Amino acid sequence: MPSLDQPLLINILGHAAGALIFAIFLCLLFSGRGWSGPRGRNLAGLAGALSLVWNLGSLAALVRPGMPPAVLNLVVAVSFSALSLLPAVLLHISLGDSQPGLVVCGYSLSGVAVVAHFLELAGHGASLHQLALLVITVGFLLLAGTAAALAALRPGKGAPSGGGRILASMCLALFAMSFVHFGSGHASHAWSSELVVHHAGIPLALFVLLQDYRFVLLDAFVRFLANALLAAVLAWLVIAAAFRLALAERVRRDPLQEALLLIAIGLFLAFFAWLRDRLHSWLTHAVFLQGGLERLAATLRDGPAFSDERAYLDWAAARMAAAARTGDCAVVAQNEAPGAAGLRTPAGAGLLAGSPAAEKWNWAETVVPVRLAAGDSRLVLLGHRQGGRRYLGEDLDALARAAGVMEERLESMRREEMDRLVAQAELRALESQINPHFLFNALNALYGAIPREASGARRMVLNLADIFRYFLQSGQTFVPLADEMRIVQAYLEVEKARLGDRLEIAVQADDAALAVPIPVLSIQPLVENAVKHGIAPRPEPGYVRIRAARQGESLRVTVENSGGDSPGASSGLGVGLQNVRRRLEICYGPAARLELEFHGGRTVVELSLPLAHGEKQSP
Amino acid sequence: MSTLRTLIVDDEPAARQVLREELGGFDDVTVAGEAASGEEALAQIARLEPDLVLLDLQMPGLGGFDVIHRLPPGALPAIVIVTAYDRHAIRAFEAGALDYLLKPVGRDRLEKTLNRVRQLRRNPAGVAESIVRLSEIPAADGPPRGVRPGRKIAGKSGSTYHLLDLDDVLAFQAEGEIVWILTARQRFMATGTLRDIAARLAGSAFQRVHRNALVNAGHVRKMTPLTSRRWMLTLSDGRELIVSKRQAHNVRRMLQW
Repeated sequence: MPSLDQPLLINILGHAAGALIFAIFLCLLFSGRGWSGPRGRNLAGLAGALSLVWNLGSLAALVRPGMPPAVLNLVVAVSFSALSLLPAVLLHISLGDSQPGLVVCGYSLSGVAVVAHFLELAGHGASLHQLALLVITVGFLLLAGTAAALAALRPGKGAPSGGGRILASMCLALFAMSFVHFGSGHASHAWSSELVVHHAGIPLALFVLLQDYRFVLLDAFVRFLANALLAAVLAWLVIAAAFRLALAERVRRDPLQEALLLIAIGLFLAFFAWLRDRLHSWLTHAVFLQGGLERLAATLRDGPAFSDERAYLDWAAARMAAAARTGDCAVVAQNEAPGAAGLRTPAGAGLLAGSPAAEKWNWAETVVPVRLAAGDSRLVLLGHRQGGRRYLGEDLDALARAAGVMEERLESMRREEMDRLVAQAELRALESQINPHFLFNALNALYGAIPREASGARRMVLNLADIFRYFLQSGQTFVPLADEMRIVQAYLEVEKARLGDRLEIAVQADDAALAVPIPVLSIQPLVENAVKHGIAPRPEPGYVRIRAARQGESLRVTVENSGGDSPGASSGLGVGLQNVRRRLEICYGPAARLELEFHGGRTVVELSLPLAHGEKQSP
Repeated sequence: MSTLRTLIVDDEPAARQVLREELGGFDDVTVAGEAASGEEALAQIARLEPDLVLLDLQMPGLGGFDVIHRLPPGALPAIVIVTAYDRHAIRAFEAGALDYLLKPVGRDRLEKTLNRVRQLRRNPAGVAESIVRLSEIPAADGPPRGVRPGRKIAGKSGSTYHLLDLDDVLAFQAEGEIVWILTARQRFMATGTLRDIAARLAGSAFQRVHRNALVNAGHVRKMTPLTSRRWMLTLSDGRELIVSKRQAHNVRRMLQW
């Protein structure tokens, strides 16, 4: 049974714990989990690294006192230099950019101390070492006091509240005080005040570091620590029990005892898991303030009806912000934030770094992705929560559930809108006003009434019937390009009969492209637009050229017409084109493009669709 | 090349005229007759035995589907549906890979259809199958077409194919490669294997009573135990089949005797 009354053991355990804690801190910091702002990561990393070096150096000196003196001295100098630099960095973190003078003072003091430690190495005696520690202690006591006083006098200037700043400064002061005890040698009796103050630096440094750190970090960190502590306590209990019961002896003698031991270990592990869950939920409820996001998903599900996607998104984001108790929220398209590509669950706002608009969103703490379609999502940005609350793991889960509800709502809204748009594009409304039987039987009678010799007229009737039939009865979202092109051809022939020589037609489609599924009526309205704006209003002859080809992973269709050199007149794009554009957006997200360009005397509409998407969405 | 003797069925004179004119452009097609109603069409089919019927779906009285269900016994014509607008039926035609024409019918489209018909004529079993598939297209939502007619099956007698009402079929019996369709009057050769037929008739009154026989439970009149393991079924026409006890029980359960 190990005893907890040896100073050396306490020191080794203390430094080992310190090294472990700061190693975890660094891992969390640089793994991106919990990171929630682009500011100050380097400083925090530096502070963590310094603490790690100090703990590791002290540990090395304690565990291997038999090292060559030169190496040992170097290790001690490096570790104390790290320790001397630490308060300066912590002061910098604590003050931010609000007190540059104090920060510079702090670094100067640390610099002096580091020089002193290394001069000591060159053989200038232990007095320098003492001097350096004294400089740090007195210097940082003064600086911390000044900083606290300034923060108290000018509240509300820096980001965390003035109270937090004062508290951080006081901690720093306490930390600095612990330096007095260094160098006088370790006290010979256990649990001396020296030992306590010695290792008080670890939690104090952590506290200062975490002042500016989003709670998520603490969340993950404290949970990790709680796990480790719980495991250590339980393991210690088990080892103690094993010693008391002299288990090793019994097991060696009796297989039954061995079986019992194995069962006990299994039970112990189950107990550990159960206890860990209880501890986590207790931490959530007691240490971290409770979220308040539980009902958010239900609120969003039972929300009022919206006809407009944007309106719903804004409403839902506002509900989200209200539930999270933050004043700031925004909805942005995913392609505005490249860092958030492929994001599926809510995450810290750190991934916004590098976006063109990162500056604009520097208030954001959390990003909630709402996926609309493959490769198309919106991001709900949420700001600082009131009352010092943080976005904890549970809150992020609740936000993810809420985002799931939004996705369902948006999907059904999109389906309805799609149906409406297709119906609008297909003039399906006609069906309720014209009896299709009457229409097609009438066209049939008309066809019969035209003499066979008037093949042009008969052909026109056939084309009209084909066009009306396509409009009336396609009944599906996607059709092969070939079907659409046939209708485009029929439509152009009817227009040609109307406009005569004024309209010159050229249609060219690759065989490879003809089988590609496209949203129904996504090309015909472009052609209709071309005739309507480019040819019909002009007295001079013009042309409409259509090309469809597969290019790599996309289908590219260009509709070009003469005329249309007045961008101002056509800037409205027309209802038909708006309809096509919106349906493409719903079907393909940002992967589909529809561009309208005017080049001296001609208009080019270019449509580009990704190949893979169509099939899976067709009914 | 033999000529295609064609019957045009449409209630609108203008529609018949269009088809007649267009068909006039093909050398190997003669218009054998015209019918302005479903009833007239049935009479003409029985009388003229045409090779091809161009059949309008929407007619007062008997519609196109009614005509198919009531086709008279005898050689089967190829049937091509002509319709102005029937979204439901067209979806069914496309699902069953059946040819159809939409009014107004242009020459190009008609030529394609006639080419397919010419190919189909060389395969009488294919003609029969296509009519069976047409007969199985369910009614569109809307007023039901009278009493739902029974299902059909194609059978061959000599060199001609017949469309048989499944209710009239007593049993299917396999003899080597051939599957016989037994009716009260005569037997026909089926177009598929017994396994295909059993699969298609799953859930109907037909029950497998033997490795090589399906029997119409509706035509079973008597079941007598022969030995401890064999039973004898007597069908409505007096025909007797020996089946295992287990299979006989299956039939009995089906009839809830």
